[in-house]
Amino acid sequence: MEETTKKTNKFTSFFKKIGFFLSEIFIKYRFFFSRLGISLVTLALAIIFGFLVVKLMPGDVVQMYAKQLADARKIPYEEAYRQAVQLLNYDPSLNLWQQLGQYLSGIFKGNFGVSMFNSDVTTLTIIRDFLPWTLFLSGASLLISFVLGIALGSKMASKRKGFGHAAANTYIVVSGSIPDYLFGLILILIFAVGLRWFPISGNYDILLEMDGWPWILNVLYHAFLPIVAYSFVQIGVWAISMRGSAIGTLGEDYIYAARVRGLRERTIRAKYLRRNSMLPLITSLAVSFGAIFGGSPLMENIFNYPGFGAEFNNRIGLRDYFIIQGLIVFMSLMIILANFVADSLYSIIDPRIRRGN
Amino acid sequence: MKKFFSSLGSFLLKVWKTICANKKTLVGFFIFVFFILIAIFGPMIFPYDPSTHGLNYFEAPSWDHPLGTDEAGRDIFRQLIDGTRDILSIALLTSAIAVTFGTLLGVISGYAGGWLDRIIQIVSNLFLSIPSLPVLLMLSAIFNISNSFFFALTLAAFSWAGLCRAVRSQIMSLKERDFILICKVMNVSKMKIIMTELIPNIASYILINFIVIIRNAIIGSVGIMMLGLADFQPSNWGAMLFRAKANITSIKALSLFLSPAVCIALIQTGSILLSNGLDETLNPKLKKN
Amino acid sequence: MANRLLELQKVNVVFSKRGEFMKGDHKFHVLKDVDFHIDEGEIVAVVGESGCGKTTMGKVITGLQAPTSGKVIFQGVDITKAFSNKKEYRNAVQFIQQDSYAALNPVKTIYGSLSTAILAANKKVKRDEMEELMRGYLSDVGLKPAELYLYKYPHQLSGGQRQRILMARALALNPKIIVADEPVSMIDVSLRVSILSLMAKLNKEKKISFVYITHDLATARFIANQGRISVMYLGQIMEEGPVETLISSPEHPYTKALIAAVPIPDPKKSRNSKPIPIRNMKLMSLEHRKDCCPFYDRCPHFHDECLAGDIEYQQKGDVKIKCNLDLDNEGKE
Repeated sequence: MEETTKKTNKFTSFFKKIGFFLSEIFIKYRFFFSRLGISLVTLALAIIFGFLVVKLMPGDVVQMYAKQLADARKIPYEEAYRQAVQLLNYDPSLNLWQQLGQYLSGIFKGNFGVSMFNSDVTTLTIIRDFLPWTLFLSGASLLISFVLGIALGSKMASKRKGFGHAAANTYIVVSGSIPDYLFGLILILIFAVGLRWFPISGNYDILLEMDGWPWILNVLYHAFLPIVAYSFVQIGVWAISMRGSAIGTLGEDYIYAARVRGLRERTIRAKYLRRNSMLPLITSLAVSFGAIFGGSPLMENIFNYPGFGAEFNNRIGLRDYFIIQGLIVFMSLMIILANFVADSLYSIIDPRIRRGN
Repeated sequence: MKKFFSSLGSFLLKVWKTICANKKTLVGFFIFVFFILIAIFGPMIFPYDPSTHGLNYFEAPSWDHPLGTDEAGRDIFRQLIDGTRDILSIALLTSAIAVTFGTLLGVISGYAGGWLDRIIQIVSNLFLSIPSLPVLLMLSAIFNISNSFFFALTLAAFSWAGLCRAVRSQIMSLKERDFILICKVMNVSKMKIIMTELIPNIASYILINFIVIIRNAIIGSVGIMMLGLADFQPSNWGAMLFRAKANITSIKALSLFLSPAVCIALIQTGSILLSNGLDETLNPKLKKN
Repeated sequence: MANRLLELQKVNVVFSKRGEFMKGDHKFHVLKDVDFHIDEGEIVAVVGESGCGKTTMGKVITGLQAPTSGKVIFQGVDITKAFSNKKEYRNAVQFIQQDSYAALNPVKTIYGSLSTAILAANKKVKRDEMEELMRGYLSDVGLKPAELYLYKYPHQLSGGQRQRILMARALALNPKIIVADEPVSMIDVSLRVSILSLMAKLNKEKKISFVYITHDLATARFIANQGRISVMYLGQIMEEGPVETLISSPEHPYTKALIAAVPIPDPKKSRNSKPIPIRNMKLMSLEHRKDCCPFYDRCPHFHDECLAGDIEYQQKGDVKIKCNLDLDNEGKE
């Protein structure tokens, strides 16, 4: 009798411990879970939106594809139609809810859409082949403009007069007025067409065969103008946000106290100003990173850069509906993820909120 | 009747004073007025004949053609003037739709709370999460949007959500302030509270956002047209840039490229100056020390 | 007996805050079994330390806070759940807030703020009458000439002027009761008397009752000259009675402590004064409220019976006291 009660006691106490542990996690991260919930709901809606994208398209997609298949594979139309439905994971004969179910089960199996023109090409292959280039280009620009913009912004907040200030202000107005793709065109006109210092298009010289270092250098050579074009405008944006945040920080009492204590202005700027003002900008950084996945079809079009956005454009031109659908869902997924991380980051980074919760 | 005009007059006087209060605002305002005048009166003074001439491609600037001609022999200067109307009308329309929609939903969401608030929040969240540019490109390409109104509508669809969120958070904090609580004690109706107490407090914010959305609409619409996805008249600035881009290697396309580019830059400068200037005047937190 | 305008019967207000996952909500029992009444032409001062629930009681009186239990009776009609005479009630009971700057819409001129009030009372006022009415209300509160104030924004006026404008706004609804929540605490000491005298004047001339909420005994004594004082502690009324009686011979230990805590301007006297008669500064929790005397932790005369259950009111003349001490004999303990 005693043995069994001991065992049951151990059992219940073990469960109690797990229960406490779980409830502690829930308690600490209550906001975390609610944000997660909102993100999941948004994701679900974005997927449904993606599903509706194909429904909106004019014309009967499957018919067109079936005809193509019939011609290409020399098979009768009915057979082609069956194959089309299989490949595309889309059966017009089913009702709306069944189609949605079919679509969702496809997604869970990893089928994000197949090209109607080449069944080897799927959304996932496109992501694999083209996304890295866009990430490289936009990511590098984001990083560079963030670092430079923050430096510029904090300088602008401390020094409110003088030539540097006027020059910086002019720069900000000018960089905000010219859209980034327009600036890219100007750069091409001057440096690529006019002076022939840089290549007009492409991500590297396809004609030359190279490996290793020469290839990397060639890539950087081709990426130079696009990155400059992106950064020119973005630096201004970060500078303005940083300046606004820094002006707010400068007004705080602890800066005043630091000055009274005798710290040099440079020390104050380095230690207190930059770190404290950067806080709200970190979340913007995360959101901007998510926006990268939206692709930048314009810039890549201008520089003929074979990136994610350019490929998306091609697919639109081809009317490759299912790929387009998959790409849009993928982009939404990334943006939602980035927004979620941005939200969570803010509460983690700000020690005030961290302790308080 | 007299009362209406006198109060309208005093309102306009206040607006004028706000504009003059800051150099930036003044300059930006005049730039806008300049382009609006061109849009309205330009085509009357310099009529544009869209029929191609086919003879003098890429002519250099001359007395007849102050900015030269494009690849099909059309006068660039007159195209520029004609295209002002399209660009401005799209931008203004987009902003008007987005601001109306965003403010309305933001106020409802912030003031009413409850399930209505949740639904509106989820919807605005959705629009913020969908990649706007790719979807816009897709819609423009596939539906071949050439009607200004529908184009503005699609642009506005991706501009309202941010404003809705911001308005909502402002209304939520204003709702608990003392001067709103006292309206309850005085038995003022909810509608009146929203219209006469809450909205005047966010009015300046809405105005500044109106201009910011105009700026973004110009960037977006010109970008889409530059990809050749929207079937607009060739006199449209974005279409001009599209054709210039195609001929970028030829130095003769310079005028075709620079003319709309400079005009776009000018309008954007005007909008930045206007919005920054208004922000400085109307935002009490930005007082320069 | 004068007309009984408003009455609170056994009003309880409990605020809940969402508790953590799987735990219950936090409940803060801010007002407990509060009985209150005010008659026509009366001035009642509600005195207590910060956080004792007096502002909440003010909000219950003005209808901004619904009681969790208990009744609010206006002119004999129970208005706790449903208003049968909403407009009359809303016009009759007005509120003057502590922060005069926050109580005015910063983007509206005084003309705008006052017109909201006037139109709320009577929609049919025409524009020409509007200015006349405002002139009248502004002169009632001592702001003349009206043009100096009507077209200004709240940030362009001084604190004292704004406070008077709050009163003018309250007057615009022809109220029967005005609840003033610490109206002078944000005003320079030298100007306080003028504002208080204004309230006394309005009370006498227009027969408006005042509920004057404050933590400052001195001003309470000044304003409630012929009226009553209610002493609140931790959401319950500890002692209530005519001003002079209460101040000259306080009965409840808390009232005695409050009066002893008033600083004496004469340095000689203050150096020799006795320490304040409380045991410690511990405050009982509002969340885990027990049925006992809330002053138990600090009371110098505590004994076990004080923890036994809710304390009943004793009546000594015009004064009612919530204590179970034998008041006639406690000096001998």
